[in-house]
Amino acid sequence: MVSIKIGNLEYCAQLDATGRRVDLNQRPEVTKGTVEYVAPTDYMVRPPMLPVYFFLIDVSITAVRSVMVEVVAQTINSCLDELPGIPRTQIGFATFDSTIHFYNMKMLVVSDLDDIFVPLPDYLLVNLSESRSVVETFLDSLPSMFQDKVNLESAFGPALKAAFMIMVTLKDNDNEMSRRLKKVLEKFRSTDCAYYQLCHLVRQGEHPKEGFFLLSNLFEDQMGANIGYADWMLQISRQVQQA
Amino acid sequence: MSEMASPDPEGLDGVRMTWNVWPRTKVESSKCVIPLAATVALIRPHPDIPRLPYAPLRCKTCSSALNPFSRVDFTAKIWICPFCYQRNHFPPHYHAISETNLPGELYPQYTTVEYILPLSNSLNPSPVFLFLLDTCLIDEEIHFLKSALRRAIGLLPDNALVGFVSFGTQVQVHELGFSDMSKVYVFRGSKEIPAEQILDQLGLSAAGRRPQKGAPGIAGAGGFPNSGITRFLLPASECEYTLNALLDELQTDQWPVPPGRRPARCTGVALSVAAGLLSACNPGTGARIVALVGGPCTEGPGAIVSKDLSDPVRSHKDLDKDAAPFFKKAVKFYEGLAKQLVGQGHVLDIFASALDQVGVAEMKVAVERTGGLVVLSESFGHSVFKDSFKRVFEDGEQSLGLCFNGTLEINCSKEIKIQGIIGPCTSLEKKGPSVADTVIGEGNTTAWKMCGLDKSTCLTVMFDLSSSDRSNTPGAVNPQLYLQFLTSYQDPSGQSVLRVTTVTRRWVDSSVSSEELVQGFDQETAAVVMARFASLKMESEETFDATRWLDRFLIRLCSKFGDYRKDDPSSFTLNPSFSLFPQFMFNLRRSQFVQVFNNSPDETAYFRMLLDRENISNAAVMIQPSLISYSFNALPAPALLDVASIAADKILLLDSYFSVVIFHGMTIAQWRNLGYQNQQEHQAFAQLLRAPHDDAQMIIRERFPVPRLVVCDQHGSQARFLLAKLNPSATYNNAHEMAAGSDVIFTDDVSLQVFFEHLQRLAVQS
Repeated sequence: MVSIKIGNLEYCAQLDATGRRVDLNQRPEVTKGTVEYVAPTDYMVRPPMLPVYFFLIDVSITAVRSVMVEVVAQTINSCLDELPGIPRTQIGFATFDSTIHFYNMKMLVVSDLDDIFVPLPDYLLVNLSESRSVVETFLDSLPSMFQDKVNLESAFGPALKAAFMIMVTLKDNDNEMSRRLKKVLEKFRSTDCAYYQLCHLVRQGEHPKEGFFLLSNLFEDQMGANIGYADWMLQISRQVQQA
Repeated sequence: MSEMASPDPEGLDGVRMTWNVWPRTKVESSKCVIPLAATVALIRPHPDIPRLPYAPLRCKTCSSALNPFSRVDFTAKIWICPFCYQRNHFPPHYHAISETNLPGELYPQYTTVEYILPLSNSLNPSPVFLFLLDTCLIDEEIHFLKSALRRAIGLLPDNALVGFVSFGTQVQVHELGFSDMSKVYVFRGSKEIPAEQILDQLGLSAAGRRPQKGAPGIAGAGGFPNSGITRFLLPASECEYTLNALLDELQTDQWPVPPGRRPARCTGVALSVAAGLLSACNPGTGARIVALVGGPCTEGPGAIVSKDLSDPVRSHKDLDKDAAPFFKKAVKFYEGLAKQLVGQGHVLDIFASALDQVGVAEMKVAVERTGGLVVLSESFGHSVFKDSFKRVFEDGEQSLGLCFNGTLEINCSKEIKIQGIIGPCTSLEKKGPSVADTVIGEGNTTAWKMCGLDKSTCLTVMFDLSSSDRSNTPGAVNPQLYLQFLTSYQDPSGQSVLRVTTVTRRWVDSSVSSEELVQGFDQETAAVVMARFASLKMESEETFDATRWLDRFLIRLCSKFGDYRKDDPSSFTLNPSFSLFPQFMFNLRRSQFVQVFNNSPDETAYFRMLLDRENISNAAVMIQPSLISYSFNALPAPALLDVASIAADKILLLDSYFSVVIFHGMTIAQWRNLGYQNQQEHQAFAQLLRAPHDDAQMIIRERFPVPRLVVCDQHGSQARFLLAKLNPSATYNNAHEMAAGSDVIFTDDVSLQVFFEHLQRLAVQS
């Protein structure tokens, strides 16, 4: 037996009679060309983002008459156990026809499609495990809720935008960088109310190339027309770095 | 006059005038100093007012109604209008009329009659109550509010339609007719939304739905009914369960408030949305927005202060210096809202409960123009709010008698012009020969709208005289002047009623004799009219000095009507018809209507709104409170409103309308604190303590808004509510003269005696 002295003794292994490590079968990294590592918490600066699933369901007359709404509700119900990320998974629903309907113990209708907004600061997304029975009750009653409605219109664009506004929130990302970013945003918003119309931000960690990550997750909002959007974001990024 | 001697000074008609004998010319009327004015209690109930089940006869020229002062030719079946002298023929169904067979409206004693008008089929007699609830409150206040609302919902008539809107950072219109789950329509609080857009977003627009974008061949595209406003307004009998469930789940506003900031409260947008929702009602529907507001509007249009807590809410000093950046803009917004509501015929009531201000001063225009109610208190748990709110919905004897869709038309003799009305109404801009060139209050019209009115609503009509000379009047001069008030309204049961009040007074040539003029002066009415006039001028004229203005009027009045030798103050006396008036003016210039230093703009607006809408007796109490003294030695008796009325062995009961103060003298307080009233041998003392409380409760039970009860002792801090109202005949300047056990007021204000001495000297001055 030949023993090679390595810094981490746990990595040592006896050699077998043929000269190979006796633990070869438990070490895919030395027998496979490609491997994946599950990073332990040592490698994370914070827990991973909560998995979020937001379902946009069309309830216009075509969808209702074709029984699509019923099928969708049943299908989602049957898949709840399969959603990854439990028990941290968050789930939310909105339905749309000529208006957008949000849900939080009640239906909140937003009719202003030209200037979409979210009707609550929180609670439009709920923890799936904790609110399982509420979610199931909602899905059970969803088809009958729109059975008698006759609404030809389908406001998918505004609904999609609203869903995005709900999902991208800084709520769960309270760290030093987020606090600085919020401070800058607040300063902008106090001088010009139009900045409230600008969409929310998403962060992907504290990588030095912050600006690129910011830009890759944003979309243009027509209300923010006073300055170029990308320029504005770069400006914010610079100020966050300086702050 | 016999009318003045009667215990009911308003009588059948509910009309009181500053002068009950009028000078004939404009020049003479200006010498009278106090304006020619009439206060009209529009629909004050009286058992002797007959109800006639038909429409009135109206003059074909001036539209005046047939009345007891019309001259009738029974043989020719003709009646002559006392206003324009037009001869009118009786219609065929009056053919049986004769001197022994008179219709009700011609009986001499029926100067006020009510006609029951047939109900139009299109009219919905159900009143609408749209509750508008502020959710930017602490949990405790929300709890109080829910209790009050549950009680109110239980008191609503079964056929009343109920709607519910809650607001905070955003507005939520609750669809009560949706049974699957709670459903609300949400409006952004920061954005001003026109009424038609509100209807569109609620799915209530005239077209019934948005224009179709789908292909015309799609099945089911047409022919479905618009469920309309019944989705949002439900009969009270049907939605009690829904509303209670709604209240159960109602929470405080969920939008976060950063530290150092005020909550974002969008009162302005909420009111717009409520008004927009009600615009979908059928025309002529009586509807009230009952707004329950717990703090200032900070979000969107109608904001009165910024969200930053370091910015204080505007004060009177800020308003005077034009240093209130939100005020004018907010008032303009609420003026637009008032115009919309008046056009719809709907009422705005404000119930404001907050330790700070909520913006009543800015919203005043909307409440007054629509004839709404206003109540100001410190908490929704305070008895001022709780009991007042309950009274709005109570029926029976205690009912406020809330009515809807009132209009007032005034006809008057040719020589008389109408300058306008001070009170809760809106001009309908109906021109006519009776409209004066000058405007006071709501003017430029002979017709006014009162979207809301009740049993005690009282308007002040300001008159002027035509400038034409006597010599121009053709034929014989009529010795009588006539005024006719026609008030149409929808009573609480939905019945349409037209009340016609016709009054007459005598003209007098005051250049010949002023004795009759003097006898016709109504001091109480004059004091109230001057208070309302001064309040109006203080709000509409920026540099107006009310104290000087009142003083000048009083000096001119005493100079004109006093008896004196020139330059000899000691010779000055006033006729009994005028003798109380200087004291009224003394108290008015010290009252919260004129001295605004110690009050917030909201409080001042509140006081003035009530001054402008209450009857004369109530308004007189606001100006000059009543004081009753209780002691062992005598029965309860009225006491002078003077610091000299304070005695160690007496209890005082002050009624200043907004507050009822029970003040215990020092000795009484000591005995009470030692518990003598609990001992059997001191039953008389226990009764003495209880008597003012019983009397106070009687006052409180009768009054709306419910006054605040203050119980205090001599030298206690709460005693300031009494001291502020008393004549400071004893101050630190002359403290050596005070009697033992009496009190002294620390003030530089002049006393009534000094005031009167100055008045006499100036009145007799050449």
